[in-house]
Amino acid sequence: MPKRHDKARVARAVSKKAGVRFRSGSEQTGPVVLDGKRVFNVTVPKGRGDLTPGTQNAIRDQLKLSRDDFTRLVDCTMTGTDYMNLLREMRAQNRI
Amino acid sequence: MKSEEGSRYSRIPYSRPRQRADSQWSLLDEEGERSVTEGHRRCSDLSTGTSPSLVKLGKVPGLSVIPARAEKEFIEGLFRDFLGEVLSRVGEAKEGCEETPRYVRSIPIHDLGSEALELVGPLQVEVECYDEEIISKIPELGVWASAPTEGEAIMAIKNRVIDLFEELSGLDDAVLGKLPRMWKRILSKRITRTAVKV
Repeated sequence: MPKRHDKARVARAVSKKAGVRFRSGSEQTGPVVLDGKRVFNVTVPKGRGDLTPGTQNAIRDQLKLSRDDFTRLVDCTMTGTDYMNLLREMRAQNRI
Repeated sequence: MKSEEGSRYSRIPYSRPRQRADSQWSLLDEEGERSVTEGHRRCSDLSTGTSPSLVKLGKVPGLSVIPARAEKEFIEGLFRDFLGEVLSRVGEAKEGCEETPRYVRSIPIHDLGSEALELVGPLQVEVECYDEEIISKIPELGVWASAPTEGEAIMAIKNRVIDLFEELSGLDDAVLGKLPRMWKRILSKRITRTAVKV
């Protein structure tokens, strides 16, 4: 069952674990840097309250995570190191 | 005594027994008379009474007559479980619908809404319509935007494309991963700067 996550919580998780420094704007966007290279950008809406399903899917797609892994990232089960290792695996598989 | 038993059974809304001429309750099967008699004897000890259909159960070794209240609770429990399962599935289906866009369509954009930048060829934008919002995205460029209406969502995605173009234009390929390098290539082919500056 899909879970709706809080915007601020998602923004915090993305910032802390993916190391994204958001630029200012109506929606926060910033690059994910892996081993000194920008691998992709992530956009998270500002404000409070739960993410809408479409927005949540879009963020999850940008982070290259499955539904379960996204929940783990936001709910603190997945650490920043875990996420970076996951991205390294994807890079090794030529996916990012 | 007979009238007491009769009134007790008459409270039970299911498994209507046939009333015999001698005013004794009976089941419709051939063995009914004896079992009913046994059932009556057992029921007489129970304050809550017994369903006639379950009197037969008294014949099963090791299985005693079930009081009507217990039977009612059992059936109510079954109904609650069934209702809970139905509601749970309806909820899941509803959430599944919420998560799935009502429609998805692809729209080409021919202009970025900026006088400084010009699109050489159209960019395909994927528009996803959800109950609460419209998501516009260009999967090839890894950008998305959200807005309450389709027009606003398309305007927002144009701004994202401009931001991405400006950002990548100022970066060396050495600091870019595989995807950002690809985005840069795509955008440099599709977008040109015009002489007019904003």
